[in-house]
Amino acid sequence: MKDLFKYGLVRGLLAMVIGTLAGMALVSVVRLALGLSIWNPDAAWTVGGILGTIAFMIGVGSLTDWYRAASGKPLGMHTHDNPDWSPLQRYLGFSVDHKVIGVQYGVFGLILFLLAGTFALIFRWELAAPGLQLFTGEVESLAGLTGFNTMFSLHGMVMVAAILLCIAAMMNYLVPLMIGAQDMAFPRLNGFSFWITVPSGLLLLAALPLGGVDTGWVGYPPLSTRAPLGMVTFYLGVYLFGFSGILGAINIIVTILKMRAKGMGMFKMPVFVWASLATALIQFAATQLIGLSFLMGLLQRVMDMGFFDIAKGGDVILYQHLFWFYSHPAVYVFVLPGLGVISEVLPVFARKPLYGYKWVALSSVGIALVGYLVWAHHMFTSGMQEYLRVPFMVSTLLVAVPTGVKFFSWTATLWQGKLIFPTPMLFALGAIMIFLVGGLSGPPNALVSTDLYTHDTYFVVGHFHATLFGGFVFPFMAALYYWFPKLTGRMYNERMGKWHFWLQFVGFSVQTLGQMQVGLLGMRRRVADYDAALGITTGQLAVTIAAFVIALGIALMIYNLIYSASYGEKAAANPWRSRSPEFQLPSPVPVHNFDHPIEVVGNPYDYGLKDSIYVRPISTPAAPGD
Amino acid sequence: MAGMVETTLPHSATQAELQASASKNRLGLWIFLLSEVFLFGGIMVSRVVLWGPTRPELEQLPAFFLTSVLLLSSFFMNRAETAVVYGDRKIFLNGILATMILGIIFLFGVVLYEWPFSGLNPANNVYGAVFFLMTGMHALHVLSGVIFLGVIYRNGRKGLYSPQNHFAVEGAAVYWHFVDVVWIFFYPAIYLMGVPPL
Amino acid sequence: MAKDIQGFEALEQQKNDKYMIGITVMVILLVMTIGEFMLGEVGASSNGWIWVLILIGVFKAYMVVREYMHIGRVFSPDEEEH
Repeated sequence: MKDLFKYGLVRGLLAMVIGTLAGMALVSVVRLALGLSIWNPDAAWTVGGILGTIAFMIGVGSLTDWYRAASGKPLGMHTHDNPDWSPLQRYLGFSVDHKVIGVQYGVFGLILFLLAGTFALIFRWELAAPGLQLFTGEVESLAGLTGFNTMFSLHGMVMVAAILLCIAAMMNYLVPLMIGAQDMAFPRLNGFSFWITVPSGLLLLAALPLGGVDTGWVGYPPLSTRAPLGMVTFYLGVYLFGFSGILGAINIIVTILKMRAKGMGMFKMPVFVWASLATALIQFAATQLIGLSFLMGLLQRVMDMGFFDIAKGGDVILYQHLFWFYSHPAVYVFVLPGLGVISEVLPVFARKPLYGYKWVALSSVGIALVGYLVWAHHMFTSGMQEYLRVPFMVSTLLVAVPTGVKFFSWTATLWQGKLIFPTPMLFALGAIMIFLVGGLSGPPNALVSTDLYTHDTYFVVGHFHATLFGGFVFPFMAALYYWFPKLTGRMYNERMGKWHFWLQFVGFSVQTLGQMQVGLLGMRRRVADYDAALGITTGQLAVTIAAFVIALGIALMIYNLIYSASYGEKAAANPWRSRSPEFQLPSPVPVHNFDHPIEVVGNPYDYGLKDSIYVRPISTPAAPGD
Repeated sequence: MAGMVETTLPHSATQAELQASASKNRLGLWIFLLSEVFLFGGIMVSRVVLWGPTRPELEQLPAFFLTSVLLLSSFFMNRAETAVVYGDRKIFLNGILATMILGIIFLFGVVLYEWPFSGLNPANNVYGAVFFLMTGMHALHVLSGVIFLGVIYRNGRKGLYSPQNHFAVEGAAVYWHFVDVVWIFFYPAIYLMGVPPL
Repeated sequence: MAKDIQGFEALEQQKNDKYMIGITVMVILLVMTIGEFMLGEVGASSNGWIWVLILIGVFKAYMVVREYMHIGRVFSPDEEEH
């Protein structure tokens, strides 16, 4: 029992329970002193959740170093983990090594990903046939329609959290390696950014036992003011999750701007680093706005402040503006790293230079900047001022330009290449095709005239699942397989990898096209039942079956990754003959990344050009201060 | 929040290491403040949408007094930072102390005077809601700034800052001034702009 | 030795200049705040003054960001100008 306390996670969880109870007690004492009723669940869970999160952060050890600094003890210029720790202690505790943190992000991200996927399977089961199958209990309970609403709401938000974690995993692990740095700019802040996602993820999931959330992932008022208690921890969990995004993004930006290897100008960086920079540029600023909208929603529930209450002079549309100001750019946060991965993987397996490097690099930033100006296209039917519609339609269509640049680059890179097709390449190619489907189904939603008909139908659902699978899921899995040898020092099983790809590719194609079709035939989002007379029963059944096929593929991947991590064949240092700096290191990557500082002497993507190299170790002894 | 920027360094660090570290920390802090601009910008947008060309009827003189107190605190903060750059220990410590005291006066003024005696209640209507959101979010930042300054004062008395190594002081100063800049916009937005509804 | 004393005096002069800048900025800020307060008193019934208030606010913020927060340091490649 006492042994367990050496794991930061265990200490954190215990502290969180104590902190939550203390917060609830505090609320009750204050209410008693003010002469109010002793128990107010909304207020108790809010304060309990905040104090619980702080207690978790203390318990896990993420604040220890800062406390030491504040009390005047020097911290040391170079951070490193306690060398006496066992690997398990490192991975279940507060580590400052960006590679460990990357893996922590990835594992927690995949856990949430599987959970959110399970929620989807549950409500897809319900939708497989007209009438009610699963949620036949009392409407207000989790066994009834509130349960259905909770499932799709949490599917959305837990998936968002999982995606944010997974892209943070990729950026944390890869960016310092790709720019030749020893670690991130702020290693302790990096550890903090990861660990705060754990208590906030738990709060988000606590919405399920606390009666659920029935607003969809958007949490629109006024419905959210009447939603079950789960709404409080839902708002609070996402709010605290935002800290991770903001602090992580600051870390990425400073790392990229200040810690590049010698000779690595901005236009000598690998494209994935550019994509990370663009992602961070969105994340560090826009996240504040979803934080604010959720904070205001929470304050309205807990303290009765009437921001969105018409009777008190409030405005519900304001919530939607604040919410979408983040939540639309967030989509680019999800896809930009993925698109960067595609650009990273294609040249390696086509053995050709990446076509139009500079344009691809700048297109990421272009998407990020245009992404700030398009949010209200989610609100064409919400009752906002009509004169806002056309400007937002035009700015939305503008996004297609930098995205098109990427497609041109990919096809031109493949053109006349000597293609080989290991699993990462299959996933990259699949991603391009799926993302194309997602991209082409976008304009009907962006144009006001057609959006008035497709809004809130399954057509929209099909569209954004295609963009997210093409922009995130497929590239993320390409990245998992591609960098797996770097992570573990072993190769995955190629056969299982290919099976996974084909199951997921075929399954997902059926799913997204099926969703679009039932949507155009009249299926609305967020509804548990539909009329058999719509003629969509077969389509819905096909989508449900496809969902389970995808789940099978992903189960295969999880098994493959876990099994190969211990029993796979030993990987060479550079199994893909890549030019990227991380592949010049041994597999798995040693603790301090680069024993010798590297310098950049060529271009990153000159595949197939004789005798050209990208990076080499600096042969002379390093100058002091490096 | 600004306390999260990693600051304290061992005395053995070389000048080049110190400069590289300060330059990273400074960039990180400024990007964080830019992020905060979006938070306060969002609050300002909410004020414009919800109050429009009106504002609540509020006492003018106390607000003017508090605003002046906060501006004065920024002056002492600047003085303290200049002093630490030139190794003027006494002015540095006294400046930090003055900044803290003025900050605490501001905080007490908002929480103990403005909140109970403004006649507004967060639950009554949108005037109360936005007033408490604006002043509350700002007060939270003042409070964190005061705590940050307390740490600086304590470590300053221990003699941890030198003309070569004082990024913590610069960070605290920049953060404090930022909180001041927010109030520069919040003061007219709450107390001066628009006409009270009849 | 004489050179050292000269350098010391130059440093002293530099320091006093900086203190002076701080005081000047403070005075400007206070005067403008008084102006804002007066505008609030006389202009309470008219919305035309809002633009003047916004301009004053922007100018005050500019002074603080430039002179007190030293935004220039973020973009300067070499450190600390002392």
